[in-house]
Amino acid sequence: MSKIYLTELVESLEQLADREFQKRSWLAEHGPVISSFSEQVSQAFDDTGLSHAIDNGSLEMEVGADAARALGELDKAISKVDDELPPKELLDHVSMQRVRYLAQCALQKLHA
Amino acid sequence: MTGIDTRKKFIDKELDRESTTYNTGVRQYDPEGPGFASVDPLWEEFRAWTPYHYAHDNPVGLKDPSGLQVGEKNDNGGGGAISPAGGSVAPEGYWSVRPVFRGLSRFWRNLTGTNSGGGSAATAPGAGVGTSSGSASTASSGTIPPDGGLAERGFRPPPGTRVRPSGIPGEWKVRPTKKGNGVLYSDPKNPGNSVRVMPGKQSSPYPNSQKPYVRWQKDGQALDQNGNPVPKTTPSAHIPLGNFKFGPVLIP
Repeated sequence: MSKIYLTELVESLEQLADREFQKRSWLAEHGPVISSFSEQVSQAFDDTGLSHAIDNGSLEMEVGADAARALGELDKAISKVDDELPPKELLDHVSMQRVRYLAQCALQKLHA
Repeated sequence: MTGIDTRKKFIDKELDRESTTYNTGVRQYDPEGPGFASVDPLWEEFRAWTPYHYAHDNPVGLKDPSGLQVGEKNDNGGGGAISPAGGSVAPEGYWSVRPVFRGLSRFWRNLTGTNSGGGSAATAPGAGVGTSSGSASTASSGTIPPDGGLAERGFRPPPGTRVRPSGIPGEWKVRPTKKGNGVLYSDPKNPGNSVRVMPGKQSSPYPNSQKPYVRWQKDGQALDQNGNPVPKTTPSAHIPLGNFKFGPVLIP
């Protein structure tokens, strides 16, 4: 059985596509907003059930073919990000720019 | 490496590509699940464990190639069977040892009036292993904590995050997180109910995220240490691993 929490997924993708949010939350020491690349990815993929749906092949059924393809591309792009980089360096790394772009694409497909 | 994808993978058993389980002969092993996909035919003798558990929840040090008999992993195939208490017994001792376990567990149940079976680690069925209190009792061998089979899948969570927090139901799925070397425990019936143990990063500017921490959620809603709903990005949603206690809020 698979179930994706779509509202939470959309919210997570919006944050994954938002450089300003990342700048505020990744570099924060005491809040009010705390996050990191790993956290954002986990919130989008692990906490929403997205990873599980990708693994068991039910993603297309859950979100439709176009959105599933876009999320698959985002999944690949995220895998290429070196999350050991310091947050400041990662923020404008080319791999992160691609993630933001693909997160935006996935959002558009989910909203379509 | 030859590049040939053999059908035999986990514990040298054949992967059924349709069900993505391994056929061990007696039972199917589900790498995505808590262990075996069906109940241990001898579950009565191992009441301290969930009937689906694999190798006493210690897949790093133990193996259970038949679905019936747990043995040491580095025993060159012959395999000394392992008692629930962790002691090694005779190589062919499975059938001869089981009646002894049966008698002992009956004796124990009669003595204590409980259903606690052969296990010495004394975890209730489905119960995990404590971390914060330092009560990291081992699954059975006394050396390696349970990791839900992650090591068998090539994943080794960083030190400090390898132990399943106490109280997480035994049937919950365990898997590595997409990024960050974390471990995700999730309700198989509802992925919105989960506990995520993250190792933290030294490079994080936020002190609580520099050390192992826990995120947990109910129906997709992040919770604080006391189980109260909080926004995902607030500091209180990042719970230091040592302070985390799995609570009734996620137990049906």
